[in-house]
Amino acid sequence: MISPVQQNPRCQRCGYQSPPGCVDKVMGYDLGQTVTIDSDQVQRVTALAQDMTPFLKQGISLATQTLAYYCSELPQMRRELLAKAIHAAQQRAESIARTTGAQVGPLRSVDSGVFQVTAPHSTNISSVGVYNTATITKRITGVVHASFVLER
Amino acid sequence: MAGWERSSSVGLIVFGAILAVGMVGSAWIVMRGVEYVKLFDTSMISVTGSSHEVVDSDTVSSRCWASRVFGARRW
Repeated sequence: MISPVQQNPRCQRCGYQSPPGCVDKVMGYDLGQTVTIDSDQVQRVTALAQDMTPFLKQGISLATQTLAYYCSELPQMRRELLAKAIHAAQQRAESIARTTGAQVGPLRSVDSGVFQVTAPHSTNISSVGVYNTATITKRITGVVHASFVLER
Repeated sequence: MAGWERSSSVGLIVFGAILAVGMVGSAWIVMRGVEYVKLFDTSMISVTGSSHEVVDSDTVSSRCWASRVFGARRW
């Protein structure tokens, strides 16, 4: 997506040492526009944002304002992560119950927590969920709270 | 059959139907109540389970400002 071109005149401005009756003189123009790229070519766009040399050779100045990475398979991954999380919860309940000589019965209730999409080694979490867009590699964490019947 | 006899028969049938529905409803409520009490009597264990996966992003969004100077660069 390309926004309309913005034009800013480059003026030679009159100073306090200028002769009387001096007017600002237009010497050139700065032409610029915002370019937004949405692409699945992650590595190519990243390389483009990190190396502006080809554009500078053509006299074009390029300043990256935002570079955000997303994972489009997140909805499908959420379902898989929830299934794994319930399995992990059951294993955890069984290990707790085993120490007390009880057995874990059927699942009584379960509720899903928010998903945290963070950088791989980040400890940043939030009660409303986190979506980190700064890194290409992401760690997606899903949490469930499950209640099982305890049978003796 | 006299009119009052007919209407009293209809009334009896309606009364019987209401009584039957009421008895079934009461039985259902009692059963649910028993289940509810049994639920509280049951020992429960509540745990938190989590899972994670490390993935690479497959979409990128970038916004940049491109500009070029026309005319005199310095004076």
